[in-house]
This record gives sequence, structure tokens and C-alpha cells, in this order.
Amino acid sequence: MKRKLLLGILALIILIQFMPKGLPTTSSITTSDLLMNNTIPSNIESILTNSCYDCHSNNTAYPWYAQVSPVSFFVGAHVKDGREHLNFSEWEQLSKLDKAEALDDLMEEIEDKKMPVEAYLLLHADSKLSASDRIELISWAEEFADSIFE
Amino acid sequence: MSKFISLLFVLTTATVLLTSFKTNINQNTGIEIPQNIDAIFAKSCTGCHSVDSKNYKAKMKLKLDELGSMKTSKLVSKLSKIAKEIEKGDMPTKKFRANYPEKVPTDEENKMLIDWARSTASQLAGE
Repeated sequence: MKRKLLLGILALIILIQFMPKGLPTTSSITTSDLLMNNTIPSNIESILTNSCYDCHSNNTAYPWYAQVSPVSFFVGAHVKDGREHLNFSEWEQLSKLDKAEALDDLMEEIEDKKMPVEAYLLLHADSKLSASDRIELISWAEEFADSIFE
Repeated sequence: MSKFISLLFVLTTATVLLTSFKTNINQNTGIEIPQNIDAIFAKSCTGCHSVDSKNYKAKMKLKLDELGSMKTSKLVSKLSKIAKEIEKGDMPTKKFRANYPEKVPTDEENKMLIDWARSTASQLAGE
């Protein structure tokens, strides 16, 4: 009985590998990307690419296990959700008002340590933000938001 | 004569101070919070959304007493979010509605808040 159950689970896992993985596509950096704005300091650029861009841009670096279902379903849903909330690849397409809101959200989330999400950090330890990363990011966001309205 | 000058000086200083402390005018944009809007804020919102609030989450999202000193970008964002939250019916919270039914804004008051917040945000963003 136990063996049958295990075999069943194994068969199911093999079968779902043939289903669509549901991973949003990745692309190279476009002209509307935030990083194309040449006022972004290099320390901020590295924080953003290291800790944010996997979910909040079209430049997702999928690890190998993301290709394995059912992990792929989970990762795909996360990335899709992240891009929907804020997609730095489409930054220049946002209105001034949306940019102000996005940067305000960013400051709140970072200050409240809600980002990056725990599930992501579990397998991306290098993406964890240090206290000084958070301070740098918040003060940059504040200045950058102001510069949009000058 | 010198008494007159010092009196004049004191008066001018007092006027300047009073104007700058007038919290219903944003010092960076000159945007004024109309009295009727301020009254709804006081009735329904500042209990949680103010500097003195004990509700950390609410305070972190919005402190209405800072509307007067916010930079343009922050003001635009907060006004836009105020309009969205009220429109979605997310604010005031369910708990607040249950505990203080008399403080819940009327439909008309909600509309006033949404219209004012949204139009002011658009005006500031030039959109």
C-alpha cells in the first residue's frame, strides 16, 4: 500500500514536469528600465539588482530548481505578483504620480523589513538587506522622489 | 521710536511664526487643506493617523499632521493613496466601523475626501 502511494506520487511529479511551468519570461534591460536613468548611484544599482530585480523587473535570474515543478508554480506566481506590484523594467512608463507612490511604498516596505520576502531569502541569502543597505535605499528613494517633482 | 520698531519686529515675527505653524497649508506646495476636509480627518482619521497615535501600523503609513510639512512627492503619494483606500472601502477599518459607527464618514463625506485628494494629487503631479 505504502509503495503504491509512493509510486503514485512519483508518477504525478514526473507528469507535472510536462505541464507549462508558469514562469514569467525574462528579457534584457530595456530603455524604460530604472537603471537606464543615469542618476542612479552604483551602490543603489547593486542593491536593486541583488535584492529586488529577480521579482521586480523583467530580468529574473531563475535558479535551476525553479525549472522543476511544482517549485516552478510557486516561483512563477511570486515573480508575477512582484512584477504586478512594481516592475522596474517599466519604470519610465509610469506617470509621475505612480512613481511617487511606488517610491513611497518602497520606503515603507523597506523600513518595515517586509522586503525581500522571507521565502525568497531562504534560498537567496546574499539578497538579504543589511541595516546600512536599508538606510541607503530609503534615503536614495526619498531624494529620487523629490527630484521627480523639481 | 525704538519701542515702536521693536513692537513692529515682535509683531512681524509672531505673524511669520503663526503662518508657518498653520498646519493646514503645506509649506512646500502652498496646498491648503480645506476646513471641511480637515473636519472629516479630525472626526474619522486622526485617531489612528497622527503622530501621537499608538497604532504603529496606521502611523507608519500616514500621519495626517505631517500633511503640512511633506515634500511634494510624499504629499502626492499620500493623497493618491487616501483616495484609493477610501474608494476601495478599506478605510476606516472594519474594527473602527464597528467600534465607532458615529465617526464613520457619510457617503457624501467620502466623496468629498476622494475628490479633493485625487484632484490635488493630479494637480501637484501636473497630470
